[in-house]
Amino acid sequence: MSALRRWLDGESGYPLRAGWRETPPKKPKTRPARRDDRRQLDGFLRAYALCAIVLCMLLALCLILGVAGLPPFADAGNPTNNEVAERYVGSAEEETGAENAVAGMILNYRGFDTFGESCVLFVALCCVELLLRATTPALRKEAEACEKEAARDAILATVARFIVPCVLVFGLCILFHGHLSPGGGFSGGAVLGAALILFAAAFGRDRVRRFFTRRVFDAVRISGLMLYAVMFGLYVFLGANGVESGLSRWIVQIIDVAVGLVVMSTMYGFFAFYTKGEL
Amino acid sequence: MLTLLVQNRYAVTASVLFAVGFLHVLLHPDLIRKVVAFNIMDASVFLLLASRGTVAGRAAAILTDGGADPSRYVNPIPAGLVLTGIVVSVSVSAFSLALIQRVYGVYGTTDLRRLLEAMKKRGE
Repeated sequence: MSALRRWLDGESGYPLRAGWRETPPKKPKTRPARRDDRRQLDGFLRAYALCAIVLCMLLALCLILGVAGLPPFADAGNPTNNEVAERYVGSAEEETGAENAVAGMILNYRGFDTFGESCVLFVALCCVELLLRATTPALRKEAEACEKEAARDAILATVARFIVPCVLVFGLCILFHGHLSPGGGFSGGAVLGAALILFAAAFGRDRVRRFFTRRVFDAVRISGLMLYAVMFGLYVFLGANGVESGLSRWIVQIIDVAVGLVVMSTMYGFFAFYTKGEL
Repeated sequence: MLTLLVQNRYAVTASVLFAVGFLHVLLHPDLIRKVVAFNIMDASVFLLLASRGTVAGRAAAILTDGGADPSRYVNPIPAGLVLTGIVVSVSVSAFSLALIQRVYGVYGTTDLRRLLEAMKKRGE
């Protein structure tokens, strides 16, 4: 456990390299590779490939046989178009205040589910950070050299100067109109994250770090998740579907923005940790 | 049966894509390609779900008339399910790619066979 602790504290680099096992591993019995072994292995691999192909063809066949038993495509009488969908579409507007029935469904009727999704994104970013954070000076130097090489591309910078503001406005539009038109927190957040990534790729990470520091990043993603939890709790305690639709519309919008914040910081965080190992 | 298959062509495409993705997961020795194949399988499931939500001649579920007439709009539930699926698929891909980057940092390869050889050489 001490090796794991050292790794988590950032003192050691890759624990797989040394000290991961407390007891020294036994020396394996090595024996010279013989031609028989090689042939046996090749035979096994060929048989494995053949088995895999046959298995996948069988799988496709089974699935297509299953498809043949499905009800006709796009028919209004299909069992999927049942009273649940009718209820969601029929009373989404008056109960949730959202004209976009999908937004009303995922943020109000199924708000806990979407909260779980935001948590999944949050935890995924935590895992990526844990795995890829540049802990040793050598790794950090390597990442910096990598960034210097990539930045300062004249064509990219010129194009980005025009494109980034447009993408930002588009992302904000999607984000704030999520309850009225197609869009919402997830798509708006992804577009905003893409704008940030483009900005960082064109003008270097230091320019982003002027306004999006480590502290701001942590604050944005944690407060996004907290805002969601608080607003959804408020919505449930105020009476859930019974909340007056004018108020409910505001709650949907705030929850949408909270989801957008989480998604945006997650997208940018993935990019930052993959390329440089830190924000 | 053939008419049903032609009618449900999106579902047929989805099953073929699923099998292709699964085949790649089994056969490709490269770890990054395995992640790509997983994404192909994810996409096939999304295609199937989205196709089940369609209803011919109906509009997307943006309730411009106040939702007075539910028979004018398509089913919104598959859209929500696909959204959940996309989030999970993105998270799993990101996590596995991070693991692969770590493995590459230690062993210098993402090829499964070379990786096994390198691990054997170190006695792990």
